[in-house]
Amino acid sequence: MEELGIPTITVTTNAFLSLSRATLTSIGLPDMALVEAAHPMGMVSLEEIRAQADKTFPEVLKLATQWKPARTEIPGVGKPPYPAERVRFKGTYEALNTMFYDRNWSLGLPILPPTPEAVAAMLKGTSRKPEEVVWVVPPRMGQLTVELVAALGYMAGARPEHMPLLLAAVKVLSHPDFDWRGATTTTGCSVPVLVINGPILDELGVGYSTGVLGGRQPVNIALGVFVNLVGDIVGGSIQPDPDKSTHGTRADLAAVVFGENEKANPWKQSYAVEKGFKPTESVVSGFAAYNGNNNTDHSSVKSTELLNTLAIGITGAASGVTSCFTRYDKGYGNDNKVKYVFVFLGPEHADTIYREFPTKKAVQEYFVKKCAAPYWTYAPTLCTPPKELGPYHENTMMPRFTQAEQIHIVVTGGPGKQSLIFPSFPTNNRVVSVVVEK
Amino acid sequence: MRPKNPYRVFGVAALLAAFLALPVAGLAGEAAQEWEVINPAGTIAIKGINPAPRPATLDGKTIVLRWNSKHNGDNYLNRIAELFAEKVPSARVVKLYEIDKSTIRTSGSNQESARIAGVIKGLKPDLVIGSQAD
Repeated sequence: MEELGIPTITVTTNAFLSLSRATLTSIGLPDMALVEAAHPMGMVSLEEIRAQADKTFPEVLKLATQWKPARTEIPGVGKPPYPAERVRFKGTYEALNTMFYDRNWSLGLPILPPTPEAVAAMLKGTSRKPEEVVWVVPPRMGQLTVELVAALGYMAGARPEHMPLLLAAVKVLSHPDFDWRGATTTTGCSVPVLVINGPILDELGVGYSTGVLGGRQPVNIALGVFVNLVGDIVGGSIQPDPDKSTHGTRADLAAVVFGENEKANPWKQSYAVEKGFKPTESVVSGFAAYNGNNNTDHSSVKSTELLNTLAIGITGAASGVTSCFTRYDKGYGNDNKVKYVFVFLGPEHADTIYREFPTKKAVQEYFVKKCAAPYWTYAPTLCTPPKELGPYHENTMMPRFTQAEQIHIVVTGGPGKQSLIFPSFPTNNRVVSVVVEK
Repeated sequence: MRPKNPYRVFGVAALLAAFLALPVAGLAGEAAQEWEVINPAGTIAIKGINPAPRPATLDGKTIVLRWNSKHNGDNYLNRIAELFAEKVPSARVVKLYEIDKSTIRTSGSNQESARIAGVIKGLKPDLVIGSQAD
């Protein structure tokens, strides 16, 4: 509004003041009229919130006509993105790590020092120019060059041959449909999730079998740490400000990176091929998610029995923030929150389902039919049934989904009767998939 | 969760080592060395925006109240509207969330933010007050 020449006042709670200021800076406003209210404003009584208004109104009135910006310029703007600054430091490896941490250049885990020699070696893994800016990372709006992809990749444990994978991941995360800003500054426990398909799995040794999300998966872990180094160091989204995640998640250290176990996929078509890519193409798909939950089902023998236990897990995932009757082809809104889900089936579960469901489409349609919950289980204002439903009451079953494409199925992991469910982050608009360009 | 500085303990140990006349050794007896590293943070790219000038007075002006759907934001703004009616009765207060329910949302995208901004601009406001709540 300010850019349109219309003055504004924003009321924010003291817990979110710093996030508000960081957001302003990132959109180019050096300062803004902010009225500070006591946290929280949500989930307090009507009397309390009216008292908050009474208390803050004099400030609202004052800022309406008298506010002047405390600063008119944003510091640090205008420096060229390439080459990156070289820093000299004398000390031990431990001291170097302390220096990196103190400057917000690490996540707290030890890093491999990005020396000019190491970065130059990493750059040999790509034909892209080191000066190319591949993403201006919010909320800090740091310019991520190919040179910095090499530096951050090296710090995370990646190797030169991983550069195309790192660059493909950046292309996914930077897509507007991913909503990186929202996912990395939310109070929620958001998790970046990447799924890798194609020949690159075996070429690079990407993990896709037993313990795919566990330790001793050097490529998955390096890529996962790289994602968070980009977000925290270049994007500046560190906790507690401006990353406001109430609990955070260990995925704030290493993002979730799955390879699909394509050989164990009974439906044969990989996730990427299902989305229209060629089997010869290596593809990275990604979305912002909430922490996943698991399905451990050793008992179901029939396909539908297993699908039913998965359905309750899907329906209950991210409770409190989900809407009913959601649609994949509809944008974000109170009536369309958490509009899709990924089901990461262990191969044994996939085999059990495949016996009676020879197509993934049939599985998706079954989930659309079965993923429903009573109206009373939805948070107030989030379930708005369509008029065609007619009269309903608190026990009326309300479907979470309406379209098969809202259910994404990937076969991954090793032996065992286990699967994982990752619900999408509300403002994430769709899955973004890109080809890994060598 | 960003962990507390895990290297602080190392720093304390290093200071102790220095006190014991081992000025160049780390915990494992590692010698200090000269490092040259790349600053991985990158420079920032932000196109500056000049804040809009404030009106000299609110008398006779149009004030739009914008609610982003967060709990109690509407209740807060409803009370603010009442206070404006008492204190600045000549001002015209428009509750956007009552006249266009499609704007009751956190936008989720630049495109949607621009759309909502367009709706507000169409009301020709002299001031917009938004509640973030949470």
